[in-house]
Order: sequence, then structure tokens, then C-alpha cells
Amino acid sequence: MEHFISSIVNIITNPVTLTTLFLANILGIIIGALPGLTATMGIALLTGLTYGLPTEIALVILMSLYVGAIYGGSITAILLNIPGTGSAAATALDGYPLATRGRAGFAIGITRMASVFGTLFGLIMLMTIAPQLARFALLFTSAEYALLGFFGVLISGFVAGEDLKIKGWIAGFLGMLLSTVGIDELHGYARFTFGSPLLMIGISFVPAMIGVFSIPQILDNLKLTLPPRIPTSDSMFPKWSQFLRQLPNAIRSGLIGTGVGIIPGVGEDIGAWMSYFAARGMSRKKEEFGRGSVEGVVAAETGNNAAIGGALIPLLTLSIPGSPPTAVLLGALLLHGVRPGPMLGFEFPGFIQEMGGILFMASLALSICGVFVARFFIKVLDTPLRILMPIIAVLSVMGAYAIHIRIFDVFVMVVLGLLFFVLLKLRYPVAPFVLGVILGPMIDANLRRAFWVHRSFVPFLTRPVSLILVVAIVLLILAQFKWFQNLFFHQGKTQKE
Amino acid sequence: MRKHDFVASLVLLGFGAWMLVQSVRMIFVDLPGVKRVGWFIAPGVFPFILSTGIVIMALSLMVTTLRESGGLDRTYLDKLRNVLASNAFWILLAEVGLLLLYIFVLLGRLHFAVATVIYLFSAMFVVRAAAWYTMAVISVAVSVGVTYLFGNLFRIPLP
Repeated sequence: MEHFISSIVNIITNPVTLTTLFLANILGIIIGALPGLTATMGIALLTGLTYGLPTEIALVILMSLYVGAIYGGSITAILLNIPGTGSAAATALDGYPLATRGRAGFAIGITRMASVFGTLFGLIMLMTIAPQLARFALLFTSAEYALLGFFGVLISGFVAGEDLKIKGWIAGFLGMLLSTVGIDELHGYARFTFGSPLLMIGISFVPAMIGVFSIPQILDNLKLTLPPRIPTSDSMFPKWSQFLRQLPNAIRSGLIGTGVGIIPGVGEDIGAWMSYFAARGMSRKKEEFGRGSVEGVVAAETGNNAAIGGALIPLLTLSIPGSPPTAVLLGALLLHGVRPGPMLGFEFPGFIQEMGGILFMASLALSICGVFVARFFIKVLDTPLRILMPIIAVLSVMGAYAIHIRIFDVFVMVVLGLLFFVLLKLRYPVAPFVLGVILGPMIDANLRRAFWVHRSFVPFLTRPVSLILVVAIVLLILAQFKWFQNLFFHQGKTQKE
Repeated sequence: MRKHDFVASLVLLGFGAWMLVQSVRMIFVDLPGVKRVGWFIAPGVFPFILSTGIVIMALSLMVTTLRESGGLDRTYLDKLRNVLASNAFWILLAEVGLLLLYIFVLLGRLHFAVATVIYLFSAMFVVRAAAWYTMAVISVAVSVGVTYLFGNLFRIPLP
């Protein structure tokens, strides 16, 4: 607890850190609010740009931007009916109808309160669950790590694949395969380098992340014209009693959001949708959903912000990101020499609590900056994307270049970006690819280390946690086959009958 | 969509098969550790598992797409021709071309600020983002701002 408090005190007492916290939060809200720019892209871009800064300030910037961006998406969802980020899509369903009824200010205000509540709820869960999970993860050996990483990529591909699930897996496998380029960690053997010294140190994940998240969005949004936004004429400060009436709904959504956030690679979007559907299912006023239900708006916004804390739990304890933005955050942590996982508590004592402190301050900043942006920076939303996108392209180039001061990284960024521009059109998801690039080296090294130590495959099936993971992986794969689905569907039908 | 998927499955199959061959070569390598312990710790094992997975998934995707779309036909090629003839496609191609020109040609040959002004102005010009003088002012302001921020404040050697 003392690390949590000292982290808060450090931020408050250091004017530079405090200013960057607020500025990053404002930037995050604007990034989240602008359709086409996402939290993940913002974090990826800032990871490169903040590389030279001290770790604490870099983390304050990234976390504050993350919290701001997840909330920011709701502003355009309410005012334009275009969710700024995927996680705000559920908010648009009821937020926009509220705005058309002249309650835009109220909708923005109540989503801000729900977002702050959701973030704090996720934070409490992070502080409660993460240390226990980290203690449990100490029992893991190389075999469990390899399987857990592989399971993380598979489950991310399974959930993220909008079209055929296999596309998510292909993206994940391509990411893992890309991560094998360069000098192998165990033997020092050059893999897929084709004699090029540039490929010897491998494909750096930051340029890869910036490329796949920003280039497709830049190219897609160059032709996008936003509709005029609804003006906010009413108060942006809902009464506390109005929010307290939603408390049971908010707590339920917080639990769902955190729970969904914990699942590797799933994240805020699903957290928001599941909270929204749960609220609709349990509401006494179901008919209001889709027509301006306050319950719907609160559920979606609490759910997506609570997923932040949830997604940080597996990231910090198992080194498995819970959402696409945390996948990028993992990259940022590794870049700053922080290796998340069960050893984190020994290498950096109190790091989880410090992250909790930053998250707490970021949520407080959100409660202030949310009003500030909605009132004074709202005109930024009127900037044509045709002007904004080329500027983002230049920042992406700098973000990719700044890590190693190497033009080759910029080439990697643009090539992967263009590849994913095509793959996204074919509905291959990005998240499993990024997860694959980041987790690939961990899976590879641990898999072969496990083989090296045990000299056989047997321990993968005899150790309880590995066995559970093997069964989960096999079930996940089998679930793709029609005969397997029919088997369960048929059984379910028979039981009903 | 499925016809595009069929083409993608062919590309993936080719790529996966090629990677598979490369990985197999890396399994039977002459490394002391591999000789002592066994082939299963070789540097090629993980890429082998992954490329095998890609080959299997590409084949599965191919079967699915063939079943659902019947492979490539004349209508698909006609549709593709229409896309290629559209204005939007050429604008996109121009934007991609400008980005590639900026990264592969201009950066390193011209001063970063000059290269950035040229890129920004031309990228905005292609999509008619604003009046030419507005675009010129934005290009110069952003370029100078980014150059100052990274070059002077962050002290990063510019590309």
C-alpha cells in the first residue's frame, strides 16, 4: 500500500509529472474522440516518442493517455453517432439518442462519471487480484509459460476474428513467425536473416505495432468526412444522485468489464458490449435501450474503463496482455527495462502498486480533463481528417525511428502497415498479430527451454497447470470443427428435450 | 469477400510452405546443444510449428472459400477491374506512393524538415484537404514543429 500512496504523492508533488499526466490525459481524450485514431494507436505512437524519457514519466504519459482515450471515444459516439474508438460503439447506441433529445451535455457528463467509476473499479480489482495471481504464477515453469503465451495468442485470435476465427489465428501465427526473425536467444543462430546484418537484431516490435495500427487508419481515414456534431447546450455536470441511482448497474458492469479485461487479448470493446447486454437483460426498462437509455450509457462506459484494470492484471502478473492497448503497453514496459511477470515483484518491488497509483491519478485527471476537453477542446473534432492523417503519418515515422535511431525500423513500419492495410480489408484482426509479435520470443524460448530441461514432451501433460492449458488449447482448436460443434449442440438439444 | 480469401489462402499457402522448408533446414543444424540434447531444441522447432500451422490453416481457408465461393470466375475479375478503375483507388495509390517516396527516397537525401514539408503538402493536396495556402502553412508549421521538438528538445538525430 505504501508504494501506491508514494506513487500518488510523487505525481502530485512533481509539477512536471503532474503536468504531463494532465496533458497526456487531454491528448488521450482527443485521440479517443477522433474517429480513426484509437487508444492502441495512440499508445503505440507515444511509446516510440517517449522512449528517451525517464520510465516513471513515460508510464504516467502512457497510462493517462490510455485512460483518456478509452473515455474519449464516447464523446464522438454521443455527438456524432460515430464511436471514436471501438470500445465506445455500445455507448453510441444510447448516447446519440440522448444527444438528439437535447441532453448531450448530460450524456457526456454521465459517461465521464461512469468512466471514472469503471477505472477505479478496475483499479481495486487490479490491486486485489494481481498480487494473488502473481504468487500463483511463481509455480509456473517454462512449459506453463510457453503454453500460456500460446493460449493467449489463440484466444485473442478466437475472440478478435470477426469473420472466420481461423483468420485471427493466422494473424497470430504470422506475428509469432515474424518474431523469430533475427539471432535466436538460445543458440545465437541467425534465423530468416538471409545474410542481412539489419535483420540480425530482429524485427523491433514498436515499429511493427506503430505500422499495423497507424498506417491502415491513416489510409482509410484520408477520405473520411465527419458529419456535423450536435451542440452541447445543457449542463455537463449530472447530479450525484443521478449516478448513484445507477450504482448497481455500474458495479455489475465493473465486474463484467474487469472479468473480460483479464481474458488475454480481448479488451475494452467486448467489455463494453457485454456490460451493455447484461444491463439490457436485467433492466426493468428494456424498451428504452437503443432510444437513449441512461443505464445503457453507464453500463457501456463503466464496462470499457473497468477493462483497463482487468487487462493490466494478466499483463503485470503473467506478461500476457489482456487487451490490444496493454499489448502495446507490454512493449513499452519491455523497452524501459521492466519485464512483467511473476518475477516483477522481486525485480521491481511495489511496481504493481505504483501502476495502481498512476491509474488512480489518471482516473482523477479524467474527471477534470473530461470537462475541460468537452468544453474547450471540442472544436478539435472539427479538424478535417484529411489534414490530420498526413501529420499522424509523419509522427508515426518519427515514433518508429526514435527507438533505435534506425531508418530500417521505418521501412519495417511502412511495409507491415501496408500489409495490414490489405489484411484488414480481408478482415484479419490486428490484435492477435501484435500479441504474436510480442509473445513470440517468450513462447519460443520457454518451449525449447522446457524441452531442454525435461528432454521430453511428457511434463507438458503431467504438470497440472500445463495439462489444463493443453486441454484448453485442444478444446479451442476442436471448437473450430463442425462435427465437434454439432456434438455439443446435439447433446444440448437432447438434454432440453 | 470469399474470393479475396481464396487468393489470400493461395499466397499464405505459398508463404507457409516456403517458411516450412526454411524451418526444417534449421532443425537439422550442426549445433553442439542440439547434437547433445536432440532436434526438439533446435532453432527451427518453433518456426516449424508455426509454418506447419499456417500451411494447415491456409489449406482449411482454401477449402472453406472454395466451398462458399466456387473459386475465381469472370465476375470476380470484372469486379476487380471496376475497383482498379475507380477514382478512390487511384487516390489511395497516390497516397501510398507519396508515403513510400517520403520514407524510401526523400528521408536521408533531403533535410528532414524539407522532406516533411514536401510530403505533407502533397499528401494533403491529393485529397484536396484545404486551400493551397492553408495546406502550405500547415505543412511548414508542422514540419518546423516536429523538427524542433525531436531535433532540439528530445535531441534525437533526425532521419
